[in-house]
Amino acid sequence: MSDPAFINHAGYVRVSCAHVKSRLIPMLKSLLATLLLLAPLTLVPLTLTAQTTKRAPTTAPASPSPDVVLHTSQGDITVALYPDKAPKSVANFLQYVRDGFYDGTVMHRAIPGYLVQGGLYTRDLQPKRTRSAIASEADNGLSNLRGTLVVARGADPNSGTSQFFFNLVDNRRLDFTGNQSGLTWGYTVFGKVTKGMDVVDKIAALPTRGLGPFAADVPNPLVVITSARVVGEDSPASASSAAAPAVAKPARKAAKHQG
Amino acid sequence: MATLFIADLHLDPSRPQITALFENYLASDEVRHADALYILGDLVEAWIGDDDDAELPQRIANAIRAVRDAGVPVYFMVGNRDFLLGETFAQRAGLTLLDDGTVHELYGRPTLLMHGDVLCTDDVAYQTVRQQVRTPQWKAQILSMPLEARRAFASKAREDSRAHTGATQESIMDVNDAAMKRAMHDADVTRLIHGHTHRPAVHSLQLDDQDAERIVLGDWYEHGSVLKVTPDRVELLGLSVS
Repeated sequence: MSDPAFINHAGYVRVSCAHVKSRLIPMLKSLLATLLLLAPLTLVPLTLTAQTTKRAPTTAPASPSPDVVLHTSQGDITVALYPDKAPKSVANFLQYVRDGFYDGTVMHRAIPGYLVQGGLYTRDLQPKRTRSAIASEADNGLSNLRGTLVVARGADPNSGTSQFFFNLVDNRRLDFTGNQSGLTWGYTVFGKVTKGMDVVDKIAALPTRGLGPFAADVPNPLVVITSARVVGEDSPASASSAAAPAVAKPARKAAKHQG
Repeated sequence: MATLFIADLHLDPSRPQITALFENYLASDEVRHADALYILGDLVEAWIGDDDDAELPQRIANAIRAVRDAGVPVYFMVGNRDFLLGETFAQRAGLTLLDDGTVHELYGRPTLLMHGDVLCTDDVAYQTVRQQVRTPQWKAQILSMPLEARRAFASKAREDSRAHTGATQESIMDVNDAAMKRAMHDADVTRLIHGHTHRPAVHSLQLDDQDAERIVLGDWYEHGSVLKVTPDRVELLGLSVS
């Protein structure tokens, strides 16, 4: 291959030119994500999961973790987090909150009877630049019950970044059913609404429309997270980091993006 | 007098018999005498850019160009596998690109045409990334990569996909009923034709107290699948691999 990039047996990209490396690797990962995730990879049908070992959903333990409140244009939503059951997911979410990443983002996808999703897109529906993806913790025994807060991701179980969703109903079909593939991994529950579920329901009840790159399901009017704060902490930890996330720069060094 | 629809061929060098079936079908009298041919997405297993100089894109362009040269309009709507296919290839092949969700009147009946993936709203993973990778910025970033790098990753994606599923055919979630009805209602049509789900069928339904139908195109994994629409009827037909 004449190109400076190639893939070794482990699937990692090696690049012979250091100058190219910082730019090319995220781009290649982006493409891989694109090609993989845009394949019709989906949740496994229930019929296929019947033979897998399903962990019984358990009740989440009380947690010493700080609560987070999302101040939205439809009202406040307070969530408790489950650091014992989903430490990486909780730390990831808290980091985005403390960075001010969610401030000014929208809940871009609402489907009554299913979920409300947000955490990536700006008011003009441009995706923000995220940090690296995190490993799935969907096998933590927590079930996708009504009111739970969940890491959204692509087809790769380990591709969650900033996006999250609230389950509007008991969506047990989104639970981990086995580690065979992205189809069976399910979605990581890492928190639960403790106050303001009526706000979540109100968002879900808004009329929806196609807008920007979305064909449908964008609440109308736009639901904006004006700010997200850790309860007891007044403002994002760093004003500079709050300003850092730029709009959609997938090739930047720090952006693994849904990899 | 007939209008033909195909989708989800997933043409790939690993399945030469399907590519040959596609070429033979496009050279058939049925196609050459059709009123129009519509390809509603996922023509190929992976599309890495219009600048791909591999054999398969060239064969596809030649096959479609011959249909166009015979006076048959060929319409193309991208699917989730070939959303990077653009105007450059379209011009080379003589394709007319259609936006997902286009309404065309077929023999007097407005018909909504979609690939179908946007209707699969239950699929969190898919919908989480779909828009993210289809922004002009992302497409530009990907297409600016060296061709060999894109080719290598397409190859790896195929391998990973097979390793994950044990087969080339992934499990695809069906369309969401409410999303489908809303799309038809918004487009003010009583007929929808789409692919993507690989569940070929003609579904009758009630929409706003009217009789309506949703026609799902079949895939081309084991054999070919064609929808033939005439002024009087719609018919899903299979094509055997010779």
